[in-house]
Amino acid sequence: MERLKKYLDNVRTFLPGRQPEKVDEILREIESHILERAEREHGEINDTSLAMAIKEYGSPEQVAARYYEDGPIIAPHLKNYLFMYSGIIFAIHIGLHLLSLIFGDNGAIFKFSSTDLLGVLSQLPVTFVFDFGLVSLILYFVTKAGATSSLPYFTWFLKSEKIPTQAQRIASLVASIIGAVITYLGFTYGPVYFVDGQMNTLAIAALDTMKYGLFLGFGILVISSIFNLINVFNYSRIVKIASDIAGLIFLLLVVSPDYSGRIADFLSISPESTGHPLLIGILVFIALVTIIELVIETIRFWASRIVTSTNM
Amino acid sequence: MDIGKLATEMNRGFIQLLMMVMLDEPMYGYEIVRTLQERNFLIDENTLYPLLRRLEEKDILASEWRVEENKPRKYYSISSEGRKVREELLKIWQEQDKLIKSFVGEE
Repeated sequence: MERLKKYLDNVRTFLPGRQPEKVDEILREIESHILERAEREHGEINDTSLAMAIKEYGSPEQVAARYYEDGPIIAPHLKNYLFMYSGIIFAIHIGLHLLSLIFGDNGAIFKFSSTDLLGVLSQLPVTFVFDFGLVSLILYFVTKAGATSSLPYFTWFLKSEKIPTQAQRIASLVASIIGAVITYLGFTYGPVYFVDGQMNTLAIAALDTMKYGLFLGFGILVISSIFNLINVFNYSRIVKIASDIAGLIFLLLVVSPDYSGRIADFLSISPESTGHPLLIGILVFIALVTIIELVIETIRFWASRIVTSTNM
Repeated sequence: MDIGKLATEMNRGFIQLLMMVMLDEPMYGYEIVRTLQERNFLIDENTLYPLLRRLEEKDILASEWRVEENKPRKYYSISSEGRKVREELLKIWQEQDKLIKSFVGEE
């Protein structure tokens, strides 16, 4: 009988969330079924017959699971919301992470010690799991409350979608390549003017800072050119998102203390010139615009996928 | 093709109706299993017992504990509410049966 008691205690651990008296009743039923089986199938009730009856009856978790067929944790009609909302919150969360990275402060919901790029990247999987879990929990309660879905669906994100024509895409590619060439020439030769066929260097007070700025512009334009080229052949939102992410990673890398010094060496400029307030201001502005675009594009990406799958 | 899952889905409703039909007289769990076995219908105890419990929670079945041969036994029988439900479900089942037969040509 000790074995039966232990078995029932095990089953009890797999029956959480029910009223204690109901659990007691279920266990009493199971006990009765096992005793009946031990006697009928194995002759009499003793340790051996009980052990066999218990084995035949099934593992505690399997037995307990059969008492939990109350329907899905998240109602099927809410599953679209699960992915959409997780995507939206994750996109906003990425934006907050990046802001915290730029401002060196903590912009995330939960504190994280790393404010460098690697630290933020390592936080992203945790962030996604957290967001997914949070949305799951909310939808679980919505399901349990039996609420019908009148949750906002964010379809307005889709209305402003305009796919550029092939000519526009080619124009963007040409413009970004020309921009890249100009900035390359700019940071390589500096600002110049021509008089009588002679090239003269323009005297600018913050020349080093300008060269550094042009180098950053060159990097961003090269990245844009690559993604614009992909867009010419296959335009998609993913390309836009990837382009924004690549641009941000480039910006964060080049302004990090690890790399800005090396870039200063490469450009033969003074390291102090990489920290000019005006330049930093422009960089923060570009980063913010890119982050906002990244968040909106990510939300649109999720929204368009959900609407497509719903209309199918 | 494995029809196991489809058969399980089909059986779920069928076993509920079967219990309503069987339990005019009180029977305990193991007795139900054996009675069905004698009629060549095998049912997993772990499927049957929680199902009996759910039907009881819906007031379709009533139950009472009895001690017989030094063992506690829970007897189930159909409630008055359950009889009304059974009547409706049997109608549906008969119409479904008729419809299926009209297609497979057994009528």
